Amino acid sequence: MFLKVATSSLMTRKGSAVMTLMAISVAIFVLLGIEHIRQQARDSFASTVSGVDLIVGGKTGSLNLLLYSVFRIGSPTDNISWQAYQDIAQLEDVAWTIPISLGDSHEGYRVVGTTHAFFEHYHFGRKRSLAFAEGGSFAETFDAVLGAEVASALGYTTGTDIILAHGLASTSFTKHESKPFVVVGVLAPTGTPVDQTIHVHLDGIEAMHAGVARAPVSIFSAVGKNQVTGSTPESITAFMLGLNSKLNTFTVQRQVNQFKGEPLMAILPGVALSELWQMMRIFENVLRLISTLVLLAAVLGMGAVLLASIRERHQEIHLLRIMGASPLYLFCLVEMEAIILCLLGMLLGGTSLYVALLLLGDTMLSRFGLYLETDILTHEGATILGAVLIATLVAAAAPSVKMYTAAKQVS
Amino acid sequence: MAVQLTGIQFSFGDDHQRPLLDIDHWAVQRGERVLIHGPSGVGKSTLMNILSGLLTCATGEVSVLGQRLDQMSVRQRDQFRADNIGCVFQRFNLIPYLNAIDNIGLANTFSAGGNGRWREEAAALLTALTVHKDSWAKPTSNLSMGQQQRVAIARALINSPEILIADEPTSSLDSENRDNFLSLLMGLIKERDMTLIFVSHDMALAKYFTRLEALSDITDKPD
Repeated sequence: MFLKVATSSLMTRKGSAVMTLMAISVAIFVLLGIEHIRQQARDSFASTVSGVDLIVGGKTGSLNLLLYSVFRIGSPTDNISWQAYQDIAQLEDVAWTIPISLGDSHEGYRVVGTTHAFFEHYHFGRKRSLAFAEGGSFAETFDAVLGAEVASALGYTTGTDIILAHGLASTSFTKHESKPFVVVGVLAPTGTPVDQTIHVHLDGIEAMHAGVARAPVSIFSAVGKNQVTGSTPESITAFMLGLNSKLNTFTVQRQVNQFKGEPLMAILPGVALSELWQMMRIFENVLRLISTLVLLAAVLGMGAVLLASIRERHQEIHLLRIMGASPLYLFCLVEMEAIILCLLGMLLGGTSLYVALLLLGDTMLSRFGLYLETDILTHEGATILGAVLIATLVAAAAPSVKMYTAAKQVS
Repeated sequence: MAVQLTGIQFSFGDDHQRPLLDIDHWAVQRGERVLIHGPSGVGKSTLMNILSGLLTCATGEVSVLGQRLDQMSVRQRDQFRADNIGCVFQRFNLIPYLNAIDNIGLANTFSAGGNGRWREEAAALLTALTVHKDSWAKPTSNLSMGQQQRVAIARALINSPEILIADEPTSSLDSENRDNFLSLLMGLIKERDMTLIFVSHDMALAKYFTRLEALSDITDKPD
C-alpha cells in the first residue's frame, strides 16, 4: 500500500515527475556509459599488443621503447645490429621474432619495415590476429600493406603506387621517388596503432635505401627461428619475440638485458602498457568528475522538484496525519518517491545505454576498432548504481525533512 | 467516559493571555451523540484537533477512552488516533490520487492490528453507505461531493473506532444529500454503538443528536 501511495502520488504530478525522470536517466546513461567505455578502452589499450612475450630494443626507458616500437611515437635512441638480432633470435627459448625497422614515412604516416611474421604472430585484443580487408601479405620486395586508417584517409586500395619519404614529415625533402611501393593488402581495423601504419617488407626498406632498382626477384621469405632473409640489413630498430614457454620470459629478458655485444633491453608489453595507462589516470578522473557532476545536477533537480511539491500537499499531509500516519511515514513517503524516480531512471538510462551499445557496436568496431561489450552490469556498474541510489536518498532528504516538519506542525 | 477534558487551555503561538480555548471541565459519555455548534472562528476545529490528538494543549488533562493523550508521545497519539478515532471533515477527506477502496485500505494500514479482512469490511461499509460499486475503483476526484463524503465515512470507520469526530461534514452538501448523509451516518453510529462528536453551525441538524452544546458554553472566555 505504501508503494502504491508513493507511485500514485508521483503520477498526479506526471509532468514534473517525467522531466525529473528524464534528467536522472540521462545522468545514469552518461555515468554508466563513460565508465563502460573507459573500461573497454583500458582493456583495449592494455591489449594493443597481445601474444608478444617480449619487445627488444636499444637500451632506453621501457616506456620509450614501448612508445616507438608499438605506438610509433618518439624516436629510438639506438638501433640493434643485425648480428645481435640474429643471436637473440637463435636462442633456444625463442619461437619467433618480428623485426621492426622505423625511419620512413608517407604522407605523415609511419612506415614500418617488417616481415611476414608480423601478420602471422602479431595479436591484439583478446588474441585476435590481424585480418586482411583486401589483398594479402607481401610477395615482392616493394609490396606494402596498409593499416585500415591509412587506406581510408588517403583513399588507397590494392594496386596504388606509393612513394616513401625519409623522415617523418609529409613534406620531407628526401623522397625515395625512384622506388615506388605497390599496395598489395589492406588490414581490417584493429583500434591499435597498426591502423595508422604502412607496413613494408624489411628487404624493401633496405633495397630502397641501397638504391637497388625495383627488381622482379622475389626475396620474400618468412623469418623463422633458423632462417632470416637473404639480403641482410645492417641494423633494425627493435623486434618483438614470442617464446616457446612463457615460463622462460624472465630468463630470456635477463639474457637480453645482459647481452654482451651491445646494450639491449627487453620489456614485457603488458607491464609497460599498464604503466603507460597509469599516466592517463588524470583523463579518466576528469571524465569521472564530469559524469559525477551531471549526476549531481540531476539529483539536485529532483530534490528541488520534490521540495516545490510539498507546498501543494498540505491538505494531503493533514489527511494522512488524521488517518494516523506518523511524520516519519510522510518522510519515508517522499524518500520513496525519490527512490522510485531513481530506480526508473536506472532502468531507462541502463536500457538506452544497452540499446545504444548494440546499435553503435558495429560502427565503433569498424570505424575505431573499439570492440564494445554490451554487458553493462559489471561490478563497477553495480557500485555506480549503488552510489546513485545513495546520492538520491541524500538529495531527497531536504524535501523529506520539509515534509516531516510540515507533518509535525499540522493543525 | 469517552472524553474528559480538565482545565485545558489552548492558544496558538505564545499568546497565553487570551487563550482560544479555556475549558474547565467537559465530558462526553460513551454512546452519546453530541452536536457542538457556534459561529466560525471560535475554536470548534481546534477542539476537534485536540480530541484527536493532533494538537496538544499547554496545560490540562485530555482523556479519551480513559487514556491520557497529553501524556502520550507523538507516535503514541498517532497510533491511538488510527485505532480509536475516526475523523470526517467538510472536505479533503480522501487522498485524491487513490480510489475509494485504496483510501479505505490506506486507513487500515495505520491501525495497529491491520485488519486482514478489510476488503470485505470496506465492501460492506460502502454498500451500507449506498456508494455504487462502479465508483469504488474510480479516482475519488471523479466522485460527486455526496459520494466522497459517504466514502469518507467508510474510510473513518474501517478500523472500527469507538469515537467518530465530524467537523462540518455536511457543509458542502445540498439539503437532499445532507439528509441522506446524516441518516446513513446515524444508522451506522447506532448499529456500532459509537460515540459521535459532531461540529456544525447548522442548528437544523439538532434532531439527530442526543445532546446539544454551544461552544461558548463549553469554553470560559476570559472577556
